[in-house]
Amino acid sequence: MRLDPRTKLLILAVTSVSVFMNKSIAVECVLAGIPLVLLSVSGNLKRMLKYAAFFLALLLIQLFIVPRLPVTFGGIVYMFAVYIRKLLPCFMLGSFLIATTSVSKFLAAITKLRLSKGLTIALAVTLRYFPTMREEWASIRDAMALRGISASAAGLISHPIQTMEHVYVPLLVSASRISDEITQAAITRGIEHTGERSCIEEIAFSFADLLVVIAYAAVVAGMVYAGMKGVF
Amino acid sequence: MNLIIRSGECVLLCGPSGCGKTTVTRLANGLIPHFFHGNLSGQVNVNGMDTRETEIAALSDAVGTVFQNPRTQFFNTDTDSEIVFGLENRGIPREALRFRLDELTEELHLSELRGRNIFELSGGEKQKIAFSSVYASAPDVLVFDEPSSNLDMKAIGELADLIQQAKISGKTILIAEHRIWYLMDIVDRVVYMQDGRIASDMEASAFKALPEADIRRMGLRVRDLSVSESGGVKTIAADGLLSAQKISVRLGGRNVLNDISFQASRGEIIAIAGVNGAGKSTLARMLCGLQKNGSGTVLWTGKPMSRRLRRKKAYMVMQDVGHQLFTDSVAAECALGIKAPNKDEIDRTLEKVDLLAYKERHPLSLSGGQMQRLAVVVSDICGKELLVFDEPTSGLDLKSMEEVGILTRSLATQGKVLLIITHDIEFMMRICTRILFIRDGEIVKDLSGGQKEKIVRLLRGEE
Repeated sequence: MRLDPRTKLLILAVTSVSVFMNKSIAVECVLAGIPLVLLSVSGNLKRMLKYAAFFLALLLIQLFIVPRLPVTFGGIVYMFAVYIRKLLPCFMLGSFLIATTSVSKFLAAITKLRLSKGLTIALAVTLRYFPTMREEWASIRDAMALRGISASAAGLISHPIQTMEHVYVPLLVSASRISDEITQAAITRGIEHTGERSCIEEIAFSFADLLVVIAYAAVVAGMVYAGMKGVF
Repeated sequence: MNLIIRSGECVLLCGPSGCGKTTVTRLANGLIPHFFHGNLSGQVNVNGMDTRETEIAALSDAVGTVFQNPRTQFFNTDTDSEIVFGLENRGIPREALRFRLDELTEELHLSELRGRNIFELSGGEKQKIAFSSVYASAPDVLVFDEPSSNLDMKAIGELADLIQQAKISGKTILIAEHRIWYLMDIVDRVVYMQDGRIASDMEASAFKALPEADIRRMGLRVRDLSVSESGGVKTIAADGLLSAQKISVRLGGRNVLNDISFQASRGEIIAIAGVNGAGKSTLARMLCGLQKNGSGTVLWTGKPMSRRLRRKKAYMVMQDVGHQLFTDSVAAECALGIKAPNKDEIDRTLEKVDLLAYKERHPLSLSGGQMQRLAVVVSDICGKELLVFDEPTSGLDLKSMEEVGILTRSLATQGKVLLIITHDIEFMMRICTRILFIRDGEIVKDLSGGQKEKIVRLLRGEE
């Protein structure tokens, strides 16, 4: 199934707003379920399973573990479990967008939206940066391991500020250098041409886009209904 | 400076680091003044266009640029879209795109690279795609900014062929480069820069006729690999301090390393050479205890080391040294992760590598060579005894390369075991005491002393 990049952006935007307006767990499961389906049909089964397990774990923590904890501690766990879980659908759609969209297709689709050239280029460079960030992160983690600094969750909890500093400083420096280099390559290859862009691949709305848009319209409707009736 | 390059000429810009050659390439492709701002006086004309007055989009039609880092010049995940990326920017209709793609495949022999995932390509293949993508838009001028820095010998050979082909088809070519040996039969003219000025400008034949001593004095790398004098020939008592036994690694259903065994002694400087993808980095990661899914034993003074112990004993100086400096000052960097840092010892160690004066500076504000030395200081303070360098001399001029040589030699004298992943023949010949040549995950040659010369043929794939 191939979705138009514009559809992917639209559902990402709808999801980002919905997850915070929504109060119903049933609707939240649907909001998480659709990206899971999208990930699995686009061949990212492993990633889909990871996200699904994480979502389920956080849901079970809220439903079964938090009620058994002392109130203050339970409150902290509740906050983490619920807020991270609410963000998961956005992360999933983001990773779906990055994994399945080539920059050239993305550019061709969003130039049709007639956004400003600067914004278009910034979006494209950002999209292109993520896979590289993963490589950079792997090498920073190696470097930390050799210095005996832990980049694990345990390290993050015991020395949060220190660990974040050790990750962010090298990552930010490499990010600014890499995005600079990508931008230079882009402009010397004529990305600033003002005419309409072409694309070697077909870009058009398809039946799949229609299905997804209908599904999301239904989710939004369901959310409004659930909000009024106070559904679980 | 004044420089005129005639149509169809192929010019090499060379000179020590910081001489301004990259700046000249940026003037030619319009990144200065359109991307890098600053005070620009004078005039630059490319194909009759004043670069200051012309939009960069129009300049990009006339000038194509291939950059140094293969990882940061592509935009798509698949090669086909990447090759036509520039044409898409110009709104060329789909049918014409397909036609041009097939035409290029023929002309540049790309059939093996069509329809592939770029993230799975080697550095050399990525660079070839970058070249094809630039070439696809048929610019009259091609600019190269240190295009070979991250490539192995075979890939450099292929790059040389591509540049040759571009020259034959009448392109005007400007190449800024430290490694000059592969360009000697291609360029027409050599412009040597120093401190932002053109120090000499000569025909290629005159440049080739210069005596070797002049080239050294100019701070340039060798013009011919076979003249790299062999140094580092020193008898070292074999103590078998480090011993790797039957190391194998399987990744993604492929044997990346296959039953590798070797021994290394204190004071050795061992080059690990081989084409990209031969398994050099995986071997290094294995020895440092960073690689999961490996089998085999790594022994230190005869005792097997667990992965955790290897991470304590070993250190890797990365190609991107910035990734391993975490704090906001040189002094803090040295004390990081140490329970009771000894200030005097830190000062002494910094003094040894001329970094004491930079104690309060932010590590990432240092020069590349200084960052490299800081990483080494850190490894010393942490008591690391096995040091692995990943491409420590890529993109370095003669002087900086020699400085890395001095650094590694002094570490070897201190009794550390050094392994150096490198493509740099000059460095292997002059500094390393031994070369392990790896092919398809196996050590196929272990060269030392006079045998080291064989590495050139091995890396070219001729043996």
